[in-house]
Amino acid sequence: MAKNTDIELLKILEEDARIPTDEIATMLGISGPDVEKRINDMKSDKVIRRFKTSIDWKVAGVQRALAIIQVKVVPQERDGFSKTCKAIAKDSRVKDIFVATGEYDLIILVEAKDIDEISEFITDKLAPKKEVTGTNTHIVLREFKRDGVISSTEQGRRLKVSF
Amino acid sequence: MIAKRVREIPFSGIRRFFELVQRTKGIVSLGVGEPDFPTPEPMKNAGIRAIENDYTAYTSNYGIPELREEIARKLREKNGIDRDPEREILVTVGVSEALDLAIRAITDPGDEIIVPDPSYVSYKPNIWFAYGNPIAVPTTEENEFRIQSEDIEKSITKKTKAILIPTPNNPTGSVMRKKDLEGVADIAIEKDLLVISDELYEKLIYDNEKHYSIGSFNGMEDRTITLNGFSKAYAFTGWRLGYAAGNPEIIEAMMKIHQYTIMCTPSMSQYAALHAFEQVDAVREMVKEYDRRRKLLIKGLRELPGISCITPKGAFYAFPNIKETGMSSERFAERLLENGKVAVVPGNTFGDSGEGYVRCSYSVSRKSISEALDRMEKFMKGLK
Repeated sequence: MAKNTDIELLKILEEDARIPTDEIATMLGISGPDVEKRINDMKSDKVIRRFKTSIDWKVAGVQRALAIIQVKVVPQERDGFSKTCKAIAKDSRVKDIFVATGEYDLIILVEAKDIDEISEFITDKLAPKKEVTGTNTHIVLREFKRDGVISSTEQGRRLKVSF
Repeated sequence: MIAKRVREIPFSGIRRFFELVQRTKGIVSLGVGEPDFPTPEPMKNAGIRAIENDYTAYTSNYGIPELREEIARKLREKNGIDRDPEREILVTVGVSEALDLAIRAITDPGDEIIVPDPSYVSYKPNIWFAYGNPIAVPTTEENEFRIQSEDIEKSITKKTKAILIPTPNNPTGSVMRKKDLEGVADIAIEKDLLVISDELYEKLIYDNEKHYSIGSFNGMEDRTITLNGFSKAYAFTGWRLGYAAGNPEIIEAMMKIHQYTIMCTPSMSQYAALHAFEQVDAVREMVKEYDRRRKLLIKGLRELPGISCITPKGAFYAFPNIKETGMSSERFAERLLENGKVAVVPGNTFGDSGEGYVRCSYSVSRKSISEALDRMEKFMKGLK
């Protein structure tokens, strides 16, 4: 049962990390301090990685460039892709790194201020690594859905009042 | 120019209020009476496929056989009601049409139908249109707005034809318990009455309450017309699809009216609805979310000065008591709209016993609920 409540709590936070504690408490039928304790426990257990904000930088008027880069890597003995991934992960422009099946070994998501900066990241930092044998870069042209939020402004219509 | 019967039936008294809602800018509305979720994806896809594959012709008057089979199976497995899909189930344009047909099929001029008060706005007008007389039986907050058998019994006359039982109830959110329904069944059997059971909100039930179908009770099988639809549980309101199940004589009579007035329901809606009963997970998630919102709204309402609120067990409405403000429901709703920019529905819209209450829907986002509560708090404090 405790496990279930934690999962419900995570679902609520996944959708809105800024929701007041007392609202969570009301919805789950537990006390405010209990909510806080559960969140803290899950933070220390690394179930909750961190609280972040999903921002539409375009609407904010800030230029950003986003690229999805596929990377071919020669796996290292007793290490696989770990060392390479850790090295790439250090760069703050890298938002996600996945080891995946298919023609390429890694898929990484890079967010920089413009295409020049993405280009610099690839040519100066990524491609020169000796275990990296190839890259395939996709510059994102338009975001339709990000962090589970659909960017489209079109919405279904409902009457303001109905019986 | 207009026929006497139609002239005699009043427009919903609060039409002026609704026009005001449409005109007022920047409001948060707790006035909605439909789900705010999209129709589940598999149902949308089935509807689109039906159009693409030209399933766009008339269907059987009763509804497509596959859908009637599905409905029969659902009624058998989930409601304990055994009905032949061939002749004892009719697919209708929303539960609204089913209600109209059921009333017209059984009502002779002057017949009386017992209706709990407050309840859904169409019950009484539908009975009037059929030249019947609705007999409002008040329900009270003390009994959680569940209609009491003693009160039904007192209202029965020689002209009583049927008892209309909506559970869960719109606007009160009340859910009839098993013993309540047993009481109704006893009366129906003893006095030889029919029961129209409107179970549209059946899936939206909380706090370990359970839904019972009176049509499954011993001796009630052939005297109950069970009405249900897809709108509320499956976020399907605009598709307009409902159904009626009952003894073949009544269903055939209803079909006769349906055949000459509606012919059949939209074909694409029927094909989409074929996938409704598979949407167990989607329904569970929606109900869970309604439940969270319900808790937020109820707690928030109870914290407001001058307002009290019992816990609704079904549907997606709270029915707070505003009597302490000294205002009528309509006055309260109007002032809340103008000064607080929150839309709620005056309780007297649903019958005289709704006076002193307002209906607040929690079929809106949590954010809207919080915003509405903040605005209501300011409004209520301004009244003092």
